Amino acid sequence: MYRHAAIVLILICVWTWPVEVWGHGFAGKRLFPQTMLFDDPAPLDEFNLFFGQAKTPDGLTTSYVLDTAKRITPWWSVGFSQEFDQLSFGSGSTSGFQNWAPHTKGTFLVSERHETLISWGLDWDIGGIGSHVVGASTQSTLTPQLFFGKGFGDLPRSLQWLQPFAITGYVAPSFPLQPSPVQTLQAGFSLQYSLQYLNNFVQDLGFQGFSRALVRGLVPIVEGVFTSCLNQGGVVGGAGCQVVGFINPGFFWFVPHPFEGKGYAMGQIGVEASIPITALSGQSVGFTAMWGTYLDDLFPTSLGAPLFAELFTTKTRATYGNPIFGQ
Amino acid sequence: MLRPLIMLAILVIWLTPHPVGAHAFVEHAEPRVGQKVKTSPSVVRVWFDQGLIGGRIRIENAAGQEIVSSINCLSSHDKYLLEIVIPQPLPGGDYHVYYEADDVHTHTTPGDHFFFVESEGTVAKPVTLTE
Repeated sequence: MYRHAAIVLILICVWTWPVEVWGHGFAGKRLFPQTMLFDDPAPLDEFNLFFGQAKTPDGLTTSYVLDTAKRITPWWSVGFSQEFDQLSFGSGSTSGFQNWAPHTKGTFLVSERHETLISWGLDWDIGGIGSHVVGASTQSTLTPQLFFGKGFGDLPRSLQWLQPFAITGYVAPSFPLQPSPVQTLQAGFSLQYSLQYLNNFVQDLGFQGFSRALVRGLVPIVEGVFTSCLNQGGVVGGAGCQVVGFINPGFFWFVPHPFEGKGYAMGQIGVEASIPITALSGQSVGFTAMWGTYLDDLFPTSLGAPLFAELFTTKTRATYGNPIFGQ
Repeated sequence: MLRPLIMLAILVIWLTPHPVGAHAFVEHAEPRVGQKVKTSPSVVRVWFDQGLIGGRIRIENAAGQEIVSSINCLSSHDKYLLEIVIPQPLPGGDYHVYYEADDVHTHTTPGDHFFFVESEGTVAKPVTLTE
């Protein structure tokens, strides 16, 4: 008993050990927000809650998703995602959990000057854990992922009003671990315009007080995600392959830190309309909302810091520092 | 006997207060980001939203020539402020302000912005760095 308690205590202490702070989702001046339909391009210390509602061929689906991740090093994280669905249809309703899905992500290319991040990811959907009444698969699936993010701050000054734009995206083929006739391919993109970037680096819009806080945290965004089969019945692009996808216009807002002088953003909120692009995707416009917590802003020296940041500090700063100051 | 002491030491270290806050963002600048000013400013200032331990500023003209730079720009009385004195009135034109702010966790925030001086003139105010 004592040994178990000691192990748990040590794990908690290691998890929250105070080490140096590293930024979440940054490439140079660019902060990439967490998008709703797919993951953002950077490994993060985060705790996200999503809520969505859509009318599908199965009925009215209400989804609650918890997604969290923890950085092991400044550029590598592990985490998991868990979704709970409620289905309402003509004769009744049902509910249940989807499969538990641990995931990991690592960044292998960062360019501060060009505001670019490229990362790999791996998602493991563990089959048989979730409830079949909400469509949870009995098969486990591995999904390798490639993420990218690119800000346009390196555009010439004559195009300065375009500099706050950024794009992010991903592509991810899914591979069932058991023999299956169906393999899928997912892809997504987002186009975002950061008023925080505009206000801080391009043109101060002149707002003051509350309106300044409101405007400088705003990020209008359009994102989309699409899923299709890589093969159907063993045939690439076989008959029966149908695209499922959504286009989501909406906005994010970086939530200011509650304590003055403790940094700007402690998280983000977002709301998007969810427009199905095929009949199979849905029958009407739904919506999605999220609350994202930046653990590295709220707990920068403990829970929100990478476990092994010190090992990478010198190399990372020397590599990615601003060359204008010779670092 | 040793194990409880080790556990206690771990807890004490873990619970020792640490300063909190992360990601120094620009609060505002003077001249403002992208602003057109009629006369040359005497000081360029950039305020941040959390405490700093140091910072650097370099100002270039439109041709990329350095006007002034300093590696020690932290205000002596305001830990949220980086500032640099403009030694001579600036001729009309675009000016590019580069900066790096080191916050209390030695996390470095890089950034840059432009301001524009409409015409050559005298320094607007006497040069005064905050003390």
